[in-house]
Amino acid sequence: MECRNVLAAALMAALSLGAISVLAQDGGSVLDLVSPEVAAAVTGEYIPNPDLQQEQIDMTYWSWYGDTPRALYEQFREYYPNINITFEDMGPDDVRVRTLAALQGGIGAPCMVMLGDKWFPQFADAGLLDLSPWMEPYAPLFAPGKLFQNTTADGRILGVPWDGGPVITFYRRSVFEEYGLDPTSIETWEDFLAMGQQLSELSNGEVSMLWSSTGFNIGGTQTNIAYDQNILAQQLGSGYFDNDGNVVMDNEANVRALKLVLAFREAGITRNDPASGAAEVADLQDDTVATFTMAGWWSYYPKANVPDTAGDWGLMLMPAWEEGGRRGANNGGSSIYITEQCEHPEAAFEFLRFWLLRTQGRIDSFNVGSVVETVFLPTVENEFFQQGDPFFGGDPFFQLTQESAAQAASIRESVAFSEAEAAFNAALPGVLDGSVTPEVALNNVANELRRRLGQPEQPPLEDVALFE
Amino acid sequence: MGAQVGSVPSATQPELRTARRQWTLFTVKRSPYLFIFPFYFIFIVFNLYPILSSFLLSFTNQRGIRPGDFVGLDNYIFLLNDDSFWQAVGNTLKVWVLVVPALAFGSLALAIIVNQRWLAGRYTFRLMIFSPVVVSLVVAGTMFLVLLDPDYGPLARLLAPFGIRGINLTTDQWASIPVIALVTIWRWIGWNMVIMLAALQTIPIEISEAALVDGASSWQRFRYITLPLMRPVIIFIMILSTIGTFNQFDEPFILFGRNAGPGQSALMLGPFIYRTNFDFLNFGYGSAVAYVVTVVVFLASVAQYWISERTRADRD
Repeated sequence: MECRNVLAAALMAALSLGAISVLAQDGGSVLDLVSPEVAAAVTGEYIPNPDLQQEQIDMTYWSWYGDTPRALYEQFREYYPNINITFEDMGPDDVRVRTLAALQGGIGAPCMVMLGDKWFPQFADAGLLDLSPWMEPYAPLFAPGKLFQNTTADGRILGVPWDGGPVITFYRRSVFEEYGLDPTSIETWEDFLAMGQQLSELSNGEVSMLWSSTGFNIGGTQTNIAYDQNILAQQLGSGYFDNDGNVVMDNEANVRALKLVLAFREAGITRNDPASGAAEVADLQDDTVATFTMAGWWSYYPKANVPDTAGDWGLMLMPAWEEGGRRGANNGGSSIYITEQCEHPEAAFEFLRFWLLRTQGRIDSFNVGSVVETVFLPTVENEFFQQGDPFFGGDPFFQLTQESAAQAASIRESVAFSEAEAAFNAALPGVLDGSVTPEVALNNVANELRRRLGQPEQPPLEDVALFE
Repeated sequence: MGAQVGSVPSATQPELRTARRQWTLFTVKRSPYLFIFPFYFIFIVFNLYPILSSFLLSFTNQRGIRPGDFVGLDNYIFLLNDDSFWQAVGNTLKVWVLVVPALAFGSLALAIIVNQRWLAGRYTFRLMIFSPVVVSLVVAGTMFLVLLDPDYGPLARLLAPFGIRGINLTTDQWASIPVIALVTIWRWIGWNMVIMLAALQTIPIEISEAALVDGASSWQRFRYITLPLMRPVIIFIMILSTIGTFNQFDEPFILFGRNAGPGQSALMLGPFIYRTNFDFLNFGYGSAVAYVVTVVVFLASVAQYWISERTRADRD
């Protein structure tokens, strides 16, 4: 790892630990970690910058979800009628490819752009503006884990975090009650597996303990399994790459994670083969699914698709690999960046500050777009986000997602993440039909990636135990 | 100073003739270039330059936006050992085998049928067969996904009483290629039929009538008159279909997404090139793959033409 990366990671870890410890203390506030001026700017009334109220300023903003910034922009315009922002919505891939092309071409890039955290390494040296001078005073106010880490490269802070994907477990109260089981007693995946088998027996195979999906069956079974495997490996502290960019897809954490997914399938307690989005919704509707473990932002899915189940869902932290182990992981998340082609970066950052670095801006964002707030800790502390969610039987949705975010491992994606994901998916059928062991399959995939990236090949691990 | 009105010296006749000749020379010799300049300017900037640029890129290891280093033929050598590339080649060839003959001879058969004067409503049939061409592929893809849905699709419901389960495109690897071929044929056969129909209608009726007088059967007239005269069009369609199949992107991508179906069973060369370049951002390697595919398509087209010409020469 480059020296600057080490320092940046150490700084982030220290700040994050500081934030957590402050939060852990009774009555402590994360705002104690920043200057009184910054704390006032975050929680107090917004004070506009008169320097930016003079000239006419035009800017563009690209994203796949512009409703929230549009709403905040309406408020922003009350202070800055001279600033005009054009919001362009397009598909996530279009945002990525068009931004990359514009940055490479040196012309045509938007002033501000929303990018998924997992793409960030592809853009780290691509012409994003270094926001460090503006962002450093706010750095202690962000959650640990990949969320913030994925906006930082070589010690430079390049983005303002928007949302994250802390994973929690959603469960169906009535299903467990019917069979006299208590899901909240589950602490480890071994417990989960055992209760799943019990549930399967009690329901004559009608109820599946675990249901997995990435939403509307995008990519089908393999993507669902890849998703599960990825968050399970994260709990063991690993992604497809280490923080130096070395391929580690065939390490013990990844093998164990894949073995656990296979164990769920072999035990007959999971369903991750729905053929279509309609089949997925039907699964949730007909009381045959007991739990799913997904990113918090996925809470929209049952709310939107099975609204009549409101109140019947409960929430808990995802099970750990061992007692006292990590019960958090992350999937997804995105941030807003200012490009070097932006002619008015100060104005752009001012808009981002108005929107994303104020408690009220975050609350307004939630009210417009239901973003799951786990990133900006002053908002997390806010009373508004301490409320229970009626759809989930009054369970403290935000507290649980925040806890998951706090426990999630810091994993930096690689520029070759998409390649790794595709190679993993391609190898899955062989693993599922038993023609190749997880150790060998993941080693084959990892070595193919290593060849592409010019890294030395490694032998496969042998007989990795599922549980220690 | 100040020139008097009307004092501008008039040009002499020889000077006028020279000027006119020069203008004529200009208009005759240079104006064609001016007329074609816009096309070639656009072609050079937006076609030729990217083509040459990506050729140079194929000798680098550029990933993402960082300029790559020169790696010689490494990308081309790596390609030979890339399992995903060979899987894409294999899948593309399978689709080619299913699609190209079906498009060439199926469209000919349809054209012959809808060209029959005795066929009532032949214009309606032509319209119906052609209509998939104007349907957006996104709509068509969604339609086929609904049709094939193993839980709710009409095909699954039809098969259910016989104990046959529907196709699950997210798990049934064997189904990927046939489904791509089916959608491709459905979509393009009407287009090819129109080309065949136009060619059929250029065959002089007198030839067929003369053969009829000589006692030739319907099959003999088709075999020895229609088919030889249609040969250039059939070859044309086969070459176009070959190029289309090797560059095919829409159908596999819309039906199976970026993961290319279970176990990449729907991965074809078009999506493979796209994925390598714009998903993986592996521009150096992606350019090398694109060049190899281009060369293969060119050779395949030449081979088709050569085989056809040789067959005709042997027959003659």
